[in-house]
Amino acid sequence: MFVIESTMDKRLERETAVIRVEGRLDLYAADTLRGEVQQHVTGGRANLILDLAQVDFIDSSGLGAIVGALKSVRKCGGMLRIAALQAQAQEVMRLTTLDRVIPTFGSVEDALNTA
Amino acid sequence: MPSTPPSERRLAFRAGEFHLEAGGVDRVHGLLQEFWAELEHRPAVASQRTRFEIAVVEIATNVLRYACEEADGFNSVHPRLELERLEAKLIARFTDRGRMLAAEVNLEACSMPACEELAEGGYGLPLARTCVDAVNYRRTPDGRNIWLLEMAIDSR
Repeated sequence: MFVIESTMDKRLERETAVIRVEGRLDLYAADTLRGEVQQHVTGGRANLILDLAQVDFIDSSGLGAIVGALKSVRKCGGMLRIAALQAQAQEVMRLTTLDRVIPTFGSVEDALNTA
Repeated sequence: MPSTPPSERRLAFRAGEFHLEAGGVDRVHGLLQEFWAELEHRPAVASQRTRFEIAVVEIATNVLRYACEEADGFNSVHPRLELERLEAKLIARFTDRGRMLAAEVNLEACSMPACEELAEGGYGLPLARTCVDAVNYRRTPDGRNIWLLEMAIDSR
């Protein structure tokens, strides 16, 4: 199952959104994530945090969607942060070296505190 | 009759077809779970298991995306996955009757996109190659695609 849940963080500037993803971020889910990110960016919320605590598998399609999100927010002067990567996702980010260009944090709290 | 060397002894085997319409990648994850369950008494090291899964799912996705593209329905392609554990090796064998791998895809030469490029694609095959020891592809004279993935593992 794949669920995206967006919540606004009241403590921060209003344009920061937390997108919570569940399940596998793969071939089937990548487009859904792209659409969700686009909706936020178009709505003027260019600072995004992807909460991946409930994502147990990311494949190359999912990575593509994450990189797409990074490019979308940067285009609008925003930032993308990733929070709570699980072991498999950490490994994929490390192998592709994408962890060097996308800031990752242990939890959403940590990501929010550095916003 | 010569006996099978201990290193070639089969410890587990799982096989099945997977189709895009029926959530093909989900089926691949299901086959992997069944495969690991068979090996409960001889589990692979977690990090090796993760890397094997990454490679298997990337090749499965490649088959579904490209071999099945323009095919006359998935029923004619029959993408199939076989998972095998020998004493010191994990093997994944994919077969299908779909479109052959594009000539311009050079498995030996494909490399991971540099992170600074912010590429939105092109990670799949390099990722698979990074995760296991060998990724081989061949097209048989009777029109089948065969992908073979091999990974030496710590024997437990």
